[in-house]
Amino acid sequence: MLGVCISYYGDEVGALVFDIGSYSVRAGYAGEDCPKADFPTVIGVTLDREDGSTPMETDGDKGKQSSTTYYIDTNQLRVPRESMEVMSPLKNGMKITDAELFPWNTRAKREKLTELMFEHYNIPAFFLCKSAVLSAFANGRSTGLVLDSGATHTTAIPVHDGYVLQQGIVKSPLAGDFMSMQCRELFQELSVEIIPPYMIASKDAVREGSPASWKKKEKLPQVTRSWHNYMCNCVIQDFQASVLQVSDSPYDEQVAAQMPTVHYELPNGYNCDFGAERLKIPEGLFDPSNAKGLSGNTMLGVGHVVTTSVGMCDIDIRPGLYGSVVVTGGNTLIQGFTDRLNRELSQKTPPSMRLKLIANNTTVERRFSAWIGGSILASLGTFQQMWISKQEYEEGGKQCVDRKCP
Amino acid sequence: MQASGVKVTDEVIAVFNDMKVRKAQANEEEKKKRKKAILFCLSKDLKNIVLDDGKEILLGDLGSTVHDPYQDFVKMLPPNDCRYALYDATYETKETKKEDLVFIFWAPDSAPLKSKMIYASSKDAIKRKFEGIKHEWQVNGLDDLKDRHTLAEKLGGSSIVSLEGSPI
Repeated sequence: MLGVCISYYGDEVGALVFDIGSYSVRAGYAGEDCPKADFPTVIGVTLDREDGSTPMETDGDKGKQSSTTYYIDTNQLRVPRESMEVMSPLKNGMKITDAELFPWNTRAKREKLTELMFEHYNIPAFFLCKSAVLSAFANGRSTGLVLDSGATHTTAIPVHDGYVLQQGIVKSPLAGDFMSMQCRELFQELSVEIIPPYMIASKDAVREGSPASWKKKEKLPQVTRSWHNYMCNCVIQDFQASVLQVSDSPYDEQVAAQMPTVHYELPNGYNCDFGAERLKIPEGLFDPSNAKGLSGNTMLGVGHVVTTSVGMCDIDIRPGLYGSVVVTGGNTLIQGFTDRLNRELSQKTPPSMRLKLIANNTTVERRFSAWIGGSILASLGTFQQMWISKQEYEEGGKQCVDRKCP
Repeated sequence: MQASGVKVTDEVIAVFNDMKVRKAQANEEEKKKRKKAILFCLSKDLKNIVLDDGKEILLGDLGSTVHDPYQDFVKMLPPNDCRYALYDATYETKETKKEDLVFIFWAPDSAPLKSKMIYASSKDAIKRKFEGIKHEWQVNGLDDLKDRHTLAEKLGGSSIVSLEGSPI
């Protein structure tokens, strides 16, 4: 879901475009080529007391005034602070306003967001777009199958003539976070501890595969478990992005053994050459049957997510969908992802079916296509009549979002 | 749907209406002026969809300056920018000879993102004005465009035996 709002900055009136995902928020000014801000969708929260002390769990005294401080963006987030909890507005609910905004795309949630924007943030105008439609448009398609693989979900959204076909949307939880979980398991199997950089004072060079040798920083603040886990996840995600590769055909142990290895070093100095694991872990995205930690065989691999979605649509429009499969989302940037998807789809579709995958090769476009689409739309002169104005909201209530932003 | 708010000019609608109606009593002069193919584009201020100046093929040109109307139509389209087009296709099935208007949305992958975005979000506006069009074609690559088989498939699938006089 992508929101656009008119706002006043300095002497000018301009439009802000924000695209909130479960991994990151992309935000910036309409008319620009890419979002100015791309930061994690997590907030660091501390409850501070007026006298500067931080409340402890054992404190029974509720009489003292406490205010909450919020920290966003990596510069603020990655500083170790005592008692700072890490929360995700999408997963834990935005405690600021007591509104739970996840998942986005129900009518009630869209109306709630509209209400929030006008009532709480007092903006003059607002519009809500469907990210899948923007991604399709940004690729020159008004009809196509948008495959979005991000942190929490891999979703196939059929778009026809600019409309999302709701009944054809297929979602799978096998995405970036699932990959992170599998990477964690790998390190557990290797008996390797994940130590984030904030804890490390110094480290020694060790041989490949040998246990790490490092010194812990003294005088570290008492950090919360949630924050520590968040910092460990950052380490895992770096490993994930650097090392993993999707096999171009279904995983085969012998083929994987021949795989060129990639050398990776963790912050504490532990380093290793990774070979077969590079292919084995992401295989779970395409063939979940052998993946660890999944109950039963009910999960759909990426190929099946696409074919199931297309299968739920009218038979006449299916060629149009297969002919324009738009690949977006950070998780699709794993090396080999699109080649493997292409292979899977060509095997699962009839030979006469024209298949075309559109996968922008630049990271920027793959992660930001919806934002860029929103930026262009919001900057068009003709689009200015499409906004929900404050007046319209006051007269028509939050329901006007259903009518004006279908 | 996510519309851009771009409007369609009256001259565009007029051209469509002319192409749609086949006046049986038309004299030779009138017939020559009828359009075989025409392109539409966004105006410079990006507010309207207008006729693309000079980008048209007249029926009267066929046989004299134009020998392969489809190829000439393909050559008219800019290789790195988007356009909308109407193409009056003449084709034959085993049983009969037909003429049908095809609405084409041309958005090559090499076009700038801004262009793709604007044309895609404005497509609904122009399509709505073209009532009764049976065939719509979204095409994104020169290879697809040049291949007459693709157009033939759009028109009638495997039953088409010839397009613009040439066998498929």
